[in-house]
Amino acid sequence: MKYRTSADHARVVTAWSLALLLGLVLLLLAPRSVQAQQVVGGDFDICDYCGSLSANTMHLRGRAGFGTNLGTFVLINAANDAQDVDRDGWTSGVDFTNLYLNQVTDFGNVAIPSRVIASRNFVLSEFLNPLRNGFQNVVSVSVNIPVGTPAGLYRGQVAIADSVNRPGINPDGEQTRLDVFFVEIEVVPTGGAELVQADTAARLDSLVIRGRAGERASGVARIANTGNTPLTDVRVSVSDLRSESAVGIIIPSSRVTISPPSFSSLDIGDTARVTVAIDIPRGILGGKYRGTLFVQSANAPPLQVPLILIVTSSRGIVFENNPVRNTPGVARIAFNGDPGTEYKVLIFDMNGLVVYTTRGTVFAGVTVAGAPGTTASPAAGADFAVSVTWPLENGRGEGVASGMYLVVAESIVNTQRQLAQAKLIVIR
Amino acid sequence: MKSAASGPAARGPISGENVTWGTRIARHRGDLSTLTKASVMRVSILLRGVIAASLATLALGGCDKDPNAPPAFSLTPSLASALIIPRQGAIRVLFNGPINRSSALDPSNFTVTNTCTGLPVPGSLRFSGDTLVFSPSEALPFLTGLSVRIQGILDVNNRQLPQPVIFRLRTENPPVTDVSWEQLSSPTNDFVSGVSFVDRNYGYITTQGGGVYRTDNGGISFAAFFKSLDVTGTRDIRAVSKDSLYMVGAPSFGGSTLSATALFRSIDSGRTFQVVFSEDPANMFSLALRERTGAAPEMVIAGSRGTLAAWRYDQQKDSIARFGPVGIAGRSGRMADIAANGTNAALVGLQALSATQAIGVAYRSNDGGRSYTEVTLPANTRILRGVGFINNTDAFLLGDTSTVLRLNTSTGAVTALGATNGIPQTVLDPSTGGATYYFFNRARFAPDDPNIGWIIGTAVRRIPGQTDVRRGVILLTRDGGQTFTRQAVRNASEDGLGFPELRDIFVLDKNFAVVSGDNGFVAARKSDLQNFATLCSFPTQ
Repeated sequence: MKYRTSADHARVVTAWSLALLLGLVLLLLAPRSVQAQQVVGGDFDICDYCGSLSANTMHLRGRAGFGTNLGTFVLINAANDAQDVDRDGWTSGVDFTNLYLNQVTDFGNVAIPSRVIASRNFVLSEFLNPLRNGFQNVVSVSVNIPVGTPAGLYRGQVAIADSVNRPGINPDGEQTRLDVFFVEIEVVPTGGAELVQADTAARLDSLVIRGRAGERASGVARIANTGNTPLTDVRVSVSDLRSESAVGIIIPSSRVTISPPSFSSLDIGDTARVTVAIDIPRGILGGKYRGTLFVQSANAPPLQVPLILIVTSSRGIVFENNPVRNTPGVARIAFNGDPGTEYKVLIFDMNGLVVYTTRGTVFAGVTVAGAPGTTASPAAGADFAVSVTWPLENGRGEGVASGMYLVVAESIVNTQRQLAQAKLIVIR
Repeated sequence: MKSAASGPAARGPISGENVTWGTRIARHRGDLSTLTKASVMRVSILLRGVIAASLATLALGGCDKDPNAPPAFSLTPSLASALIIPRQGAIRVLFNGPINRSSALDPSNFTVTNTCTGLPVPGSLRFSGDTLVFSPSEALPFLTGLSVRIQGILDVNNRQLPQPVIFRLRTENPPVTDVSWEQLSSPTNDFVSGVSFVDRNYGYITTQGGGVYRTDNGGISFAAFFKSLDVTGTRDIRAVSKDSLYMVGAPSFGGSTLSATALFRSIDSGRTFQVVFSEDPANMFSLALRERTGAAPEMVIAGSRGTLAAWRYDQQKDSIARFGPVGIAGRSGRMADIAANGTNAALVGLQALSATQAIGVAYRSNDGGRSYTEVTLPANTRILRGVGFINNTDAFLLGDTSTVLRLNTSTGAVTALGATNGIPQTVLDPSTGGATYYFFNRARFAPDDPNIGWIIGTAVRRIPGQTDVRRGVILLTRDGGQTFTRQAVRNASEDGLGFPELRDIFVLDKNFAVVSGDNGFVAARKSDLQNFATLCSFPTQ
C-alpha cells in the first residue's frame, strides 16, 4: 500500500498504534494460563465438580428431624501435574495420613442469618482415610437437621487439613494442604399442626364444654404450629353435635360460634387461641352431645378432635314431633333419666283414661369386657336420657283417635325423682 | 293461658329453638298455635283431672300386668361379622326378625365410633338381605377399637328397641405385631456387614468399606476405631473378648490390588488389625467362630479360591486347614458355620449353570470343618447364602426365594420348611404384575435356650419398570426352628417392617440379639418379652 499524503500516513500510523495498544491491553487482561508447580510438603485438593460438588459447593436436602441425603467429595493427592486439579501445587511421594476436619462452620440460614444448624450436626460418614500420593479418596457426608429447624436454605463451610503436614503457602501465595468446600442444605418445608390445651402445651384429646340449657357456653383450644414453615389459611369448623343418649337430638353446628374461625397465617412455633361457644338451646335435654372440631390449613394435615358438650340441666319431656300425624305414625318422647334407673311413661286421653304405658331402664352402658353398667357405676356409652316410642296405639294394638293426650313420664334425674308431663296432639 | 300441668314440661316442648331431632326441626309452638284458644282451654281443664288420675296411676306403678302396656319389642340385633374386621371391612348386624328399615338406615340410630380417637367413623349404611351393613368410607389404622351403637330402631309394628345395644370390635392386626426390636443409633450410612457383642454393652460393628466401630453403652453410641487404606470388603466381625476380635476382608498388599483375602485379628480392641493368614487371589465371605473354654477359639470360613473353598482356623494351635478349591467351575462358597460342640460344620454356596442361572450347593462336615461331604439337595434348590446351626447336629440352610432347609449334618438328611412353618413365601400381585420375594442369609440360636432363634434376610418388592424396594426380614422361632413368626422394628415405617435389608445377626442370649444391614442399620432386641402392638398402637394409617 502506498501513502498518498503525509496526513494519510499519520492516520495509518495512529490506527496501527491504537491496534497495538488494544492488543497489549487485551493481553494484560486475559487470564494467564496457571502453571502447575511442585511445592514443598505436597498438597491435596478437594476436587471441584467431583462427587456431589457443583463447583466448590455441595447441595444437600432433607427434612427437619431427619438427616440429609448423602453427599460426597473427593480428596486428591496429586503426584504429577495432571492430577493437580486446583493448579496450586503437587509433590511426588508425599502421603497425607493425618487428615482431619479443620473447620466446620455453623450452617446459617441464607434469608434469616439468626437461624442456624449447628456445626455439630455435620456427619462425616466415612473416615478421612490416609490419602496416598497419586490417589483419591471419596468421602461421604450428611447433616442431621434438628427437629423444628425452619425450612429454608442454609450455608456453611467445611475445611480439611492434615494435623502433621501442616497447611502452607505456595509461591503464588495460595493456601496449600488445606482445602475447603461449601455445603448448602435445603431444609424442605413440612407443615404440621397440633391442637393443644388452652393453658398448657399438652395435646388436646377432646374439647369439653359444660353449660345449662339456654346458656351460651364456651371452651378454648389452641392451635400450635409444629411444622417448620408458617401455617397458612387455617380454618376451624365444627360438625353438628349429636346426643350420646339414644334420643337422637342434634344441636346443629349453626349454634356454634368459633372465634376466630380462620386466620391467614400462623408462624413457626406459635399458637393461636380459638374459642368455641355454643348457644345451648332452651328446653334441650341434659346429657352429653358429641361432635367434631376440625382444623384445616393449606399446608398441614387436617386435625380433628371430639367436641363434647355436657348439658348439666334437665328438662321435662321433649317430643320429636307434636302434633303427631299419620306419617310417620310414631310419637317419640324423650326425657332425662339417670343411667340404670327405672322409668315409666303413661299416656292419658282427654277422658283421663290411660291408653298406653311403657316402662324400662335407662341404658347404663357396657364395659369393655361386655358387662352392663349399673346405676352406681355407669359404663361407657351410658345414657342420661331416654327416648320412648308411642306407635299411636292403645295397649290392645288399636289406633287411637285424633285429639290431645297427656304424656306423663316418671324417672330419676340426678338421683331425684322427676315427674314430667306434657301435652301431645294426635292428628289422624 | 296457664296450663293445668306445672313444671318445665308444662311450658311445652322445645319451641323456637334450633334443636334438631334427627333431621327434622321441632317447632311445637307453631303447631300448637293452630289450635283455637277455646279448644286448648277445654283440654286444659280436662287435663287437671287427667293429671290427678295419672299421678294416682303412677303411684300404683308396681302393678303386675298393665293392660295398656304394648307387647314387648322382641327383636335383638346380633353381630354377623367377626369381632376383628379388616381395615376397611364391613360391620354386619343381623336382627332376628323384620324391622322398620328406614329407622335402621337412620345414621343417628347406627353409630360407629373410633375408640382410639373418640371420633365417629364415617361410612355408609345399607341392607344386604336382612343384614344391616355399615361400610367405612376409608381404611382405618390397624388395631383400632370400634364401638358400634345401635339404638332407636323400630320393628314393623313401630315398637322401639328398648335399650341401645353396643358391640365392640377392632380392626385387624398389622402383618407383624411383635415390635420388640429397636433401632440403635448408627455411626455410618455404610452397609454394616458384621456385628458382634461381648456383653450387653460392649460390641463392635464393621462396614463393608472396612470401618470398625465400637460401642461400650449398648449401642447408644458407636465410636470409630479402625479404618485403613489397606483393608476393605470386611464382613462378620466376631469378638472373643473386649480386646480380641476377628473379621474377614480384602487386604491390599502394597496398594495395587485387592484380590487377596485374609482373616484379620485385633488384640487392642479394634484399634489395629493384623493379618492372621491370607490367600491371593481368593475371597472370604463369612466367618463363624466357636469359643472354647480354656482354649483360644476356632473358626470356619467360606469363600472361593477360583472355585468353592473353605478354611478352618484353630487359634490355639495356630493351624489352618483348607477345604478345596473343589475344582468345579462356577461353584462358589458363601457361608460356613460350626456347631457348638465343634464336631459338625456346614458349608453352602452356589453353582452357576449359565450366565443367568445358578442353584444352591451344600456340604457337611463331621470333623469340625477340616473336610466336607457334598449334600444331596432337593432338585433345583435355589442359591444358598447362609447357614446356621440349631443344635449340635441340625443346621438351617438359607437361600433365595424363601429357601429354608433343615440339614442333619450327621445323616445328610434335608427337610424343607415352608409356609406352614411360618416362612414367608413369594407373593404375586396381579394388579401390578409385581411380586415380593424373600431371601434369607443368616440363622442364629440363643446359646442359653436352643428353642429361641432367628432367621434374617431380605424382602424384595419388584414391580416391572420400577426400582426394587428392599426391606429387612426378621423371623423368630420359639420352638427350636419348627415354626417362625415375623418380627418388626419399633417406629420403623410400614408398620414396623420398613427397615433396610439385613446382613448379620448376633445372639448373645435369648434376652439380647443384634442385627445389622444396609444404610448403617443396627437394631437390638434387649428382652425376650415379645412386645406386641396393642389397641391404638397405630393412631394413623
